Amino acid sequence: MAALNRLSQRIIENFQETTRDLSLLAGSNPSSTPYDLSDDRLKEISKLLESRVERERLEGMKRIIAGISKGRDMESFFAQVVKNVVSQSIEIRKLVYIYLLRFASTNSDLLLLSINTFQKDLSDPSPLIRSMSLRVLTSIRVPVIQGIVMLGLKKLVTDRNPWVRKTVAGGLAKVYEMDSTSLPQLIPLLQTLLSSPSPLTLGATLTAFIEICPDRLDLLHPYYRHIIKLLVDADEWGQSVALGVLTRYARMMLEQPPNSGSTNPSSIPQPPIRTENGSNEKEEESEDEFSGIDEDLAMLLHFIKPLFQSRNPAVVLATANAYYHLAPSAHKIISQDLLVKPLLRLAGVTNDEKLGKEQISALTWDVIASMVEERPWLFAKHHQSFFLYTSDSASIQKSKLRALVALVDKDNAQVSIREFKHYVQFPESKTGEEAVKAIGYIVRTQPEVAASGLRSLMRLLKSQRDTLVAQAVIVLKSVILSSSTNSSSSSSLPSPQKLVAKLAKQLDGITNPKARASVYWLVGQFAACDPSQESEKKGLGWEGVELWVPDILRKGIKGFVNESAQSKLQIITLATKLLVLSPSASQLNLMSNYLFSLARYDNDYDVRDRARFLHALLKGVRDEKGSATPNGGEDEDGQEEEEDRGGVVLRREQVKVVILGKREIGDSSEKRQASEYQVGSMSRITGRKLNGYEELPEWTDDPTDSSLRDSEFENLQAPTPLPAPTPTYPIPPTTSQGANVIRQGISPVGSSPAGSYPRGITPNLGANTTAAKGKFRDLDAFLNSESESGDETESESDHLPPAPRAVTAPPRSAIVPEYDEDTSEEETDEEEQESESESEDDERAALYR
Amino acid sequence: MGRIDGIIILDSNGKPLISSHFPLHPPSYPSLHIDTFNTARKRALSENAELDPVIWVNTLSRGGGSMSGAGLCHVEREGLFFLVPVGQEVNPLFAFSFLDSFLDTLRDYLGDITEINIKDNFDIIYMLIEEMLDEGHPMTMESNMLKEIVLPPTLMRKLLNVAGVSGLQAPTTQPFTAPIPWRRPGVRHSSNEIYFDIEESIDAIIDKRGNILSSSVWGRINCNSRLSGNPDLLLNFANPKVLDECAFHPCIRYNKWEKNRILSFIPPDGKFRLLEYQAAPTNTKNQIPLGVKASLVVEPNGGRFSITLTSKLPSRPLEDIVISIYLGKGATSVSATAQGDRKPLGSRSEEGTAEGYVAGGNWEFDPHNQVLKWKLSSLVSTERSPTLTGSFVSSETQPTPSPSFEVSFNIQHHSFSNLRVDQLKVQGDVMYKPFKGVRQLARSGKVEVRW
Repeated sequence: MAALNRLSQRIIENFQETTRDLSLLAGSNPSSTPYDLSDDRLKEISKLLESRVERERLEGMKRIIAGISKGRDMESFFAQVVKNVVSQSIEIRKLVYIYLLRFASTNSDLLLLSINTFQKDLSDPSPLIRSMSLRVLTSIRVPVIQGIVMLGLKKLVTDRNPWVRKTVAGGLAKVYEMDSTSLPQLIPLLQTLLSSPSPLTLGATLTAFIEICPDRLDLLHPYYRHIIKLLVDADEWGQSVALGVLTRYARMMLEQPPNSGSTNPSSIPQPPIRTENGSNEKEEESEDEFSGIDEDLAMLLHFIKPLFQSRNPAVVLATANAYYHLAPSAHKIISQDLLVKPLLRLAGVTNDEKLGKEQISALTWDVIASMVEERPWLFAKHHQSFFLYTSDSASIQKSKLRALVALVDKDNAQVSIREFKHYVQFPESKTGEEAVKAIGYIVRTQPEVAASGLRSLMRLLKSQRDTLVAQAVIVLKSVILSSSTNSSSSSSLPSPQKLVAKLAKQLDGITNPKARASVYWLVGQFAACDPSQESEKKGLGWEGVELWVPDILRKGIKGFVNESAQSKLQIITLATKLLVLSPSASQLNLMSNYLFSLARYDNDYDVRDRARFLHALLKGVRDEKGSATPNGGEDEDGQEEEEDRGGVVLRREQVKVVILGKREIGDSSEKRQASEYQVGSMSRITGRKLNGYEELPEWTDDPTDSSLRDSEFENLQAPTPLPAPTPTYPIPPTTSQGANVIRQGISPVGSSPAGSYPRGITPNLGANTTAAKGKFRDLDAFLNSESESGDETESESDHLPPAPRAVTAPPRSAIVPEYDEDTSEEETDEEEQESESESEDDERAALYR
Repeated sequence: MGRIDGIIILDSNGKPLISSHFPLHPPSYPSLHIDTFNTARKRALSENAELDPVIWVNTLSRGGGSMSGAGLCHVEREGLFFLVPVGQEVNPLFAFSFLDSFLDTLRDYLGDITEINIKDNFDIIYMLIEEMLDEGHPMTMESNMLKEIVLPPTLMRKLLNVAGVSGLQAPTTQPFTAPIPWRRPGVRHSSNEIYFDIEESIDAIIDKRGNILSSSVWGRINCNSRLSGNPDLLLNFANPKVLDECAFHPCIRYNKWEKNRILSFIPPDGKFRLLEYQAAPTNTKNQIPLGVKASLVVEPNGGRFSITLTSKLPSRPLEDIVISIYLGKGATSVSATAQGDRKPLGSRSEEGTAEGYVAGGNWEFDPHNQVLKWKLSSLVSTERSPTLTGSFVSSETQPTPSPSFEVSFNIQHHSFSNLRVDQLKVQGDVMYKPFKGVRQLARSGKVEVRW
């Protein structure tokens, strides 16, 4: 009977289930999903959780999770949920885990009841269960159980399954966070994990390293090469973390390569650059190519090269960052240039609205723009890639323009100005403004296109787009000021006076208040004319002032009432300047008197104040004039002079200095404030410091000995120099261990079939040069030995000529034509000899110090 | 480093649907981000501006003492918002990369990402988040791996549930034991097929005279693999040199590619993106198959325009051609004539939602966003060049239309870079010869013609 009942119930439910599906497909009645919780559904939860039927318990758990995501208080079910930890169903257990992780810290007492279960699960045959239970254990932040957690970690750190070890790595950080005194116990565990032969755990381990002891980079010495070799096969997320750690390590521990950082390669002697005819030639390259560069650094840079081709944008960016901060600026194999194309690809390929990755593109452009500003030569060849599309998002346009401005040089001046002129027309007004600024920049820096740039700036003044006009005037102002300060560079520009005259002519068309104010100011500043030109005016204008200036003042005074406050201020200033320049013009006196009385009763506080101040300032000027024409003083003036008695009265020359004095070009908008944050960091993008941001250290002056990085662990693995064409193929990973030849079969699970080992050159690079280089790079050891026997200097320096040269020559001659080889060999030889003798000298100098 | 805070999914009104656990932060942390995001979005909407991809959120630091902040990375998909707060210094693309793979996984599990789908399968999503994020560190990200741990919702499973087998999954294999992270062991398909979709898009800026100022071709090879066992594939290209900058799926052996320009890989099961590439710059002049002659003259309170299209591709028709231009703020109406080859011409003009249906395609003007669109369903090279001439009226005395026309089109079975798959060899422990399908699609990315 019961069975029958159940059956009928099931059929009914089955029916309900299918109909629910139908209704869901139609989207008409979503209220029946567990996600939507009414109160009576909440009440049922307890019953469901106590049920014997697994399906009902699952339903109950689902409702609880739904409640959590709706922000309801679900803590009251804790006791009932904990009981379900022992459920056989993985699905229920997972939901229980999710629940426990949320409320574990607040209900530790109840949770302790179930600790046993977790502990037992740590030895479950299924790696999934082991890993899940460890995760929950480590996530329960209760001090009492830390001992148990530590035991669990110790137990699983040597687990056969890399996924479980990955969980252990994650657990380390959590334990450390709970109890930072446990560090001494955690470090051995971390070291065990670091030596793990599986690339799967690498990312998690290094993440744990960062969380636990980011400053103990010395811990990494024995694992450095190991990490680098695993890196290519590690998971994407681990790669980007590892790259960060390794970059930091290299800066702190390795020797700075020559020409690293922001050295323009064109400023240093170029090594012979081989043309890009395919990578096949690379086989002929040998460790000789890396001479002068710390071999461990070369190894790092060489091994991470494949990561430029990662599908994960974060990895590409991390690799580019590593190259940006570590690589030498000109090198055949590992130069900084390598980062350019991958970054541009990343920025370009994701910038397609159909893919929906615009954000990645926008951030990449931002990073690129910062890089261009610091090292423009890297991207100079790819000028075209920066051209703006109208469909680009505003932030991409901004970044591209930043980059384009930084890229402006003699060769691309024509193209740049054409582009900038075009961008002015963009409907996005911010872009237009930036483009106007860019034109201003190019006018100031590139004389050959200055005229054309100026013309378009002038044309802009007539535009209806207020913001653009304002920007254009401001830019013109800075152009005029800079051309008047350094007259040498601006030979192709018209004289500032002419420019101002042109600008003033446009005054009627300019409506933007800020722009008008700027024009008035400029007119005043450049109103003075050469005495030599005085004759050209044929006595029409005022003495000492350009012919067209009085009319500007007239217009200004006429429209004074309707001007904006900032223009009013500048009109008063203009009148004052003219008075100083040409104190004897009688109309000017009349006009300025009228102006000052207008200003005196102006609505604006500042205008009144300024007028009063300037009027007082002019006292000396009026006095001089008054003495020249004794009866000229007016009543009003007389009265004011009475009031002003007691102050210092400036003479005309002094007033002139005060009011017309040259000032600094206040060009804050053009100045690019160098961000204090590292290129390619999140803080750089938000413009504010995030937690955990740390400046990349400068290159160390005291690189560590490379022998530190030789470890017995390392010897197990790599140094068997492989023949160049590594036979990683064709061997399917599951059927044989062959693919793991390189790893000497250490990896039990045959972790990756990718065999993505970069070319065979690196192993011998590690092995061969270690001895010779290690010897003389560690100067301390060298010096110590020196104190014992003085003769060794000679013998040491005898070791210096790099032995591998002989080895490398034959393969190269295989493809490079004879003569070519000769010259290049000679050149490199000379260079190297030079550097060698230099280093010798250095050493000697150090010896005799 | 390498840590995000969590993930929040908002519905189209900005209400939270799903929010992961933020164990290291006060309980108000997620709502703080949600509030900031909603405020920023409202402001951006009202100003008709774009949101920055990363929004700064002021928060209390972990100790609770001092103020600090977090960058809020956000993405909009199908009207839903996905937020990832980042409270610690991290690689800037990290959060977005994570979001991308999270969304890919969701799509894999749920099909379309819609509000209903998410509400329906919220338990699965929670389980996924739990597996993918371990307190902000990405854990298990490979879709194939996840499917072993979190079973995807299928009708079959629902039926099983009802039949009382309930959740007791009988996984075919032990999870976490696969030797290859991206492939489940023991995959079986009745017919062994693999499909390659080569999709290329072209970006170009063309000036008034038809010169190409800047252009690049981006390509993607999407793959759908339904092969049993562990097949080891070798994919040869007839002209691998056109692949300039590549991004590989992790399954591709980098070594082989560097040496022989052959793609050698053991594919994941199902759909995946094998390769992304930038085509090597060649004589790009021939690459853009659509010739556009466009002119626009701005006059007081309006302007005149004319556009002429020619196909330079003799072999195939261009499809779904759309020419669009933003006519500037204040543009109120457009009247135009579209001329083509096939039918007699006609013209129409209306205030407001003006639309013209003619033989040379049809055009429409949307007065809300001031965009004029001219659409043609197809164009072949033998056809007489279709033209669109007309004028527009604007309430601004000096209208500022966009300085370039945007062009988009599709071409089936075409490749800008001329990339050709030569052959596919199968090795490894499999005995079958798979069916291989290659499809090519070329489309425009961003093509702009300046006037």
